[in-house]
Amino acid sequence: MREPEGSATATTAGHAALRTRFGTRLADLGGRLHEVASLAAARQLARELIAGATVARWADWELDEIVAAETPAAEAEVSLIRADVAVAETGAIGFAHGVGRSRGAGVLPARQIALLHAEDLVAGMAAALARFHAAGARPPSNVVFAAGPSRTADIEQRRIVGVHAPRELDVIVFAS
Amino acid sequence: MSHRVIEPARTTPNPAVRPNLHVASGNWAERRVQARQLVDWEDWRERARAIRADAITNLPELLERLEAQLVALGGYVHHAATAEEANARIAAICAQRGATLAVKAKSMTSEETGLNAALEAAGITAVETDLGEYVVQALGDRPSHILAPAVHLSAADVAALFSRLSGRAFDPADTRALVDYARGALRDRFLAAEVGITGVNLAIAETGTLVLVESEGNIRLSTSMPPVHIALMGIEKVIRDWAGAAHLVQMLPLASQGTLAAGSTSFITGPARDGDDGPRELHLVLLDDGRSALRGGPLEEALHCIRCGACLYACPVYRQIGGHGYGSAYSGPIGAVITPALEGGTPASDALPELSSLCGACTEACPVKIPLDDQLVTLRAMARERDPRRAEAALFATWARLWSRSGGYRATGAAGSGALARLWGRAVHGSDDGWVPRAPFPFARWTEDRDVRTPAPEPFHARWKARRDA
Amino acid sequence: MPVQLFVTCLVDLVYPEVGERTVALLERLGCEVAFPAGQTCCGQPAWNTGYPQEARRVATRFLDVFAATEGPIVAPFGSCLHMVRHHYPALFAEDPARLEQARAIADRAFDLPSFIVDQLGREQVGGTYPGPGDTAVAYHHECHLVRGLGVREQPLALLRGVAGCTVVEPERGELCCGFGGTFSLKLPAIAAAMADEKLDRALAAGAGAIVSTDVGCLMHMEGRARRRGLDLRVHHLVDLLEPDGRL
Repeated sequence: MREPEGSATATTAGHAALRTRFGTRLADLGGRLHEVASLAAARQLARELIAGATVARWADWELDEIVAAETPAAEAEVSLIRADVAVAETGAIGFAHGVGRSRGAGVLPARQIALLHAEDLVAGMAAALARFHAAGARPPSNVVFAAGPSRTADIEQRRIVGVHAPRELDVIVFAS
Repeated sequence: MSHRVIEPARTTPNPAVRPNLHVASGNWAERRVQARQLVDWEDWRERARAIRADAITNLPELLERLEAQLVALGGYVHHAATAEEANARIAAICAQRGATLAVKAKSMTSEETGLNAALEAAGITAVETDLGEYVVQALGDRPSHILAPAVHLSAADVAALFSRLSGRAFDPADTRALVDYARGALRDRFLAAEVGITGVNLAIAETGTLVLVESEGNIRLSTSMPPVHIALMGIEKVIRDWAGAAHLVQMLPLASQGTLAAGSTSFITGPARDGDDGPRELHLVLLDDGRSALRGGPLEEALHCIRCGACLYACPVYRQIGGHGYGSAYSGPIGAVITPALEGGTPASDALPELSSLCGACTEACPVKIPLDDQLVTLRAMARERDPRRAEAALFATWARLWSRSGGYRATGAAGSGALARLWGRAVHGSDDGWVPRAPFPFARWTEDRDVRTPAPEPFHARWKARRDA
Repeated sequence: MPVQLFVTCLVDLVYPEVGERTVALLERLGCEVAFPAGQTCCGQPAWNTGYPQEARRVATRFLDVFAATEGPIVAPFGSCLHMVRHHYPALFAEDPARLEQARAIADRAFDLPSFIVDQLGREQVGGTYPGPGDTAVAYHHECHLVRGLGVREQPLALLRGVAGCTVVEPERGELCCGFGGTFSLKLPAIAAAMADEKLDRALAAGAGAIVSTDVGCLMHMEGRARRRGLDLRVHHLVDLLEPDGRL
C-alpha cells in the first residue's frame, strides 16, 4: 500500500525506506540508483560513470566540476542533468526545463546521469507534482517525469530498453 | 463508410493474428495480477471514475477554463466541430508556416480523423515516430491496438521492412538492432521537422496543462525539437485539476501495463517560456465530432475512457479477430461502443456491438468503470430501432407473445421437443442420444461448427407435473 | 419456507436432468423444494439482442410468477439470476411497482453454488464423478456467475468435495467460452474459435472433462467437442454433486 505523504523526510529511517523503495522500482524499470554521502562524492561517481564519454550538461551548479568540456546535445553520448524531484512509489525522476536546462541535453544522448538531492525524494506522485504546481502559481512550460530508461515492446511483445529517449539511466542521490 | 469506419467488420476469426494476441493478452493478464497487488484496485477505480465523471458532467465549464488558461499563456486554441475541420485546420497551420515535414507521436484521435492522409494531400509529410506506428505507416498498414499498434505484425515483418528501407539485412531475432535502426532513422526526422503533432492524454483545465504519456521518448522529442507543437484532442479528455491528473497518470499505465509509471509523462503548460528552449508556438485543436451529443444520454459514460487499451487485451473476441477485424479506427470493446455512438448509428457502425458475447471482461478491466457490456446492449437496442431486422423482430415478437404466458411456453416446449425433435434427430443423425449435427431455422447457424442438443422429450415442467403434483 | 426453484428455460426444455438433480440435491440437504408452475423465462435472450420491449413482456410474467411465492429462489446457474438482479432495474425503470417487485425478488434469489455454500453453510456436499475414476475435471467459470455476480470460490469448493475426480484449473479459466446467447448464432465461427480455446486449454491441463454451471456454455462446448471428436466430457456441476438425482 502507499505510504502517507508526510513520511517523506520525517525520519532518517523513513527516508532510508523511501530510498530503498525508489531503488527497487528504478531497478525494475532498468535504471540504477547510487546513494552517496555528499555532493563531492556524487560528482566523483558521475565522473567515473562518464569515463571519458562526451557530455551535454545542464547549467545547475551541482553539476559543476564533473566534466571539463561540453558537447552539443545531438552528438553527446551522455546527458548530465539534475532532477528536481524523485518519486519513491514509481521510480520516476521529475524535472522542469528552463534557463540552462535545454530540452535536447535532457533527452537526446543515449545515456543519462541524473543527480538528486536526498531531500527531493518524496513518497508519491501527488507530492512530487506539487513541486511544480503551487496553487495560484504558473507551472513551468515543460515538466517531465521519466520512470527509468525509455522502452518498447512493440515488436512481438519483446521488451527492449532504449528507444528515442535515453537507454541508460543512473540516478545519483546525495545527502546535502 | 465514414472516416471512422473503414471497412466491414470480420465475422470469422483471424488465425494470423491469434498467436501474437494470445501472448499480448496473456502478458497483460499477468501484469494485471501484479497491478492489483500494488494498490487498492477497486478504490483506485472508483476515484478514477469520479474524476472522469466530474469532467464530463462539467465539460463546457472546464473546456472554457482550459482555453482561457492556454490563451493567457500565448497558446492557440482551435475548435473543430468535425474531423474534416480538424484536419483542415492542422494542415493550414503547417502550410502557413511553410512546413512540409511533421513528426507525429501516436494519436488515436488523428487515426479517427484520418489526419495523415489529409496532410499528405496538402503536401505535408507526417512521419509516425512511435515504433509500432512507424512500422505500420511504412507498410501502408493500419494500427490494430490503441497502445500496441503493430501487435498484429511479426518480428520477421519488421526485419523485412527495415531491410528494404536500409538496404541492409536484419535478423528478426535481433530486436536491439531493429530498435536501433528505427531510433537512428527517426532521429534525423525529429531534428529536421518544422512541426510536431501529438495527441493529448489529459488536459488539466486548472492551468491549461496538456499531459502526454509514453514509453519510448518520441513524444518528448516531438514536443521539444520542432519549433511548433500542434496537439489534437477529443474534447472529452479534459479534467479539472492536478489532483485528478496525479491519479490518472498512474492509473493509465497501471491499467494497461501493470506499472505505476509510464516511460515518460510530459506536463506541457503553454508554449516554451522563461528560458525553456522548446517550441515557441503551441496549438491545441479541440475535436467535438459527436462527443458533446453523447452527454446526458445513455452512452455518456463512454466519454470517460482514458484510452488505456485494457479492454482490448481483456476481450476474447478481440483476440480472435484482431484490431483490424473491427474495420474501424477504434477497436475492441471501447471501439464497438464509441464508433456507433459517435457516428449516431450507421449500418456499418451498428455491426460493431454485435462483436461481443457480453462476457463482461471489458467492464471488469476498465479502470474508470465504464459499463461497456451494458452499453453494447443499449447500442444493439438503438440499432434495432433505427434499422429493424424484420425476421428477427418478428421472431422475438412471437416469442414474447408465447412466452409471456405459461400456455404458450409449454406449447413451444411440446412442439420443439417430443415427436418433432426425435424425428429430426433420427433423420439427421441416425441415432437419438439427443445430439444432432444439423438444426432447423432459426438455429441453423449453430450447427455450422457444432453439434446441438435437441429439446428433451419430456421437459422438466412436464416431469414435475407427472411425478410431483398430486 | 420452501426453496422456490427457478429452473430456467434452457434447463427446463433441453437439460431437464439438471433440474431434477438440483431438486434432489436440495432435498438431500434438507430443503423443501417448490416449483412455481407458471414460470417461463427471465427474458434475457431478447434483452441481449436489443429487444427490450419483448424482454419486458416475458420478464413481467417472471415477476408475476415469483412475486406470488415466498422464501429463497434458487437457479441452477448465474446468467438468468444476473438478468434479474442487474438488468430488471433498467427494464422496469419506468414502473415503480414492478421495480420494487424486481428488487424484492432479486434480494432473495441465489445461484445454486452460492445458496449451498453461503446460505446453507455447506462447502462440500459429496457427490461422485459419473464416469471413469480419477478423471481430471477442468472448471469453466460461467461469465455471469464469476464477473456478473462475483461468485468464484463456491462452485470450486463444492467441486473439490466430489469423489472420483481431481480438479484442474486451466490457464485463464475465466475466459468466455463463446456461447453468449445469440452471439453464438450470429457469429458462429468466432464463437467456435473461442470454444476451441477453452477445450484445448482443458486438454492441455490434462482434463478428461469440463464442468460448469451455465447450460448454455455446456451446450456450446459439448457441441464443439463432439463436432471435433474430442475425448472430453462436459457436465453440469450437479451432474457430479447428485449424479443419480431424479424427481
